[in-house]
Amino acid sequence: MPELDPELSQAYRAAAHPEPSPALDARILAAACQAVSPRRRPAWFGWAVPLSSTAVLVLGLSLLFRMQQDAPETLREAQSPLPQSTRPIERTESISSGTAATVAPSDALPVAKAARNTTVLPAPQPHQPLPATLPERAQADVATEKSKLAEIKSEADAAGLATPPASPAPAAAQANRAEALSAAPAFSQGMRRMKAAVPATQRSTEQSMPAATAKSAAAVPDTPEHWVESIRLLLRQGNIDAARTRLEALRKRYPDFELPPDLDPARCCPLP
Amino acid sequence: MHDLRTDEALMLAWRDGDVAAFEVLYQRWRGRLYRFIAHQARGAADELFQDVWLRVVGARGQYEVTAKFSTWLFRIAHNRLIDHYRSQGRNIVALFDNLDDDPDADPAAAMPAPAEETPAALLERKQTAGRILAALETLPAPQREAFLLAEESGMSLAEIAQATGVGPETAKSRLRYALRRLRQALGGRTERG
Repeated sequence: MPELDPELSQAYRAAAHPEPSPALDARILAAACQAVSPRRRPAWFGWAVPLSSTAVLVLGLSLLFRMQQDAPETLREAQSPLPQSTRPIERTESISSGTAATVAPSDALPVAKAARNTTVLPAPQPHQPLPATLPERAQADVATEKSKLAEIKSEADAAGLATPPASPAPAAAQANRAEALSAAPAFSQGMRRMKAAVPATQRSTEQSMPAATAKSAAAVPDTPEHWVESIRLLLRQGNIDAARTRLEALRKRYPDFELPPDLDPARCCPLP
Repeated sequence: MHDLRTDEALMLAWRDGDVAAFEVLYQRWRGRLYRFIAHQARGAADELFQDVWLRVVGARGQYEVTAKFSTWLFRIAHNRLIDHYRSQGRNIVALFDNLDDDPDADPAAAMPAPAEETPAALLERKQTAGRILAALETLPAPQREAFLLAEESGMSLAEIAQATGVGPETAKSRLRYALRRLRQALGGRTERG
């Protein structure tokens, strides 16, 4: 402190000195209190963090669940490239169970989704182009189902329910087809789904397939030559009983028809 | 109850949210700061006093102990007074600037005092304690400020120099001449030492 004159200081302090008014003090202290007190946040602000966290969690879990649903299908596609006749049912079960947890490669996802569309959805979108593997699978399915139809027909023939007439009879053939379809609901359902799934171009390709592939034993024979051909097909398939039954039917219907040597009952399908 | 904490400790406590610390600090300095301002800008004392404290409040978050609190506080008051002088268009600011170059100059002696308020007239007219205040008003602003800082804040010369932004020699010179003029006003005594 600098050297001040005590007399001078005493005189200065003895003089009337101004003081701030109480109102001024109150204003300054209020400003100080306001500066220290925390800013009030809106009431909803406290919920912002929990709500956003919950939303992120729900979105993440749903995405994970969706990926796990898609993964088993893709894995199954990769393991079994050729479908079986019962495959649509199995796939539906696998979708509902959703047990596999393997993550599928990203490029296989469209195939899996398309396959699910053909098996689960009743009417797939016709404008959506199907992957390359699906038409092949559809062809194989058609062939398999047709052979199954042939078996059903042969059994029906054996039971004498649907004996084909000698002359072309479209009405009877239609009735036989309907009967066979009603006898195999799973098969007819699968056929409908596949027909809906296969595009029009694929269907035209199917119609132009070779006769040996397209005309299976399921075709109703209307001439003795067709009968012979269908019996040979049954024999090639190893269905001896059905071949024998059909051979007997042929001999009954066309007693004057001379059987080819390879269809001699003693050679081709002897009695057990 | 008396708070034994230093001014700086109180200021740090208030910075951290202790409102009571500010109240203690305010009570310590409110009278002295008000007098410091009122003797230099009587008509605007309330406004300036409030502005200084509001600047203190506004600087709460950035406060660090780099000097004594009183030095910091009166430095704020000094700057606010300079702004006030500028806004009034008074030529006092030039005195603050020019005196720094010649510490031995005594502008108070060169300034003509009002005829009715010369120290001699004051001594004759007022034999009261208010005589010193009248003499104080006749001082040039820098010298008056130096005297008020020494009396009201108890600052050393170095602190006065720091608060007013001048060198220690300039602060010493201002204070010396202020004391001489005031002694003359009290009884025509000469400067001691």
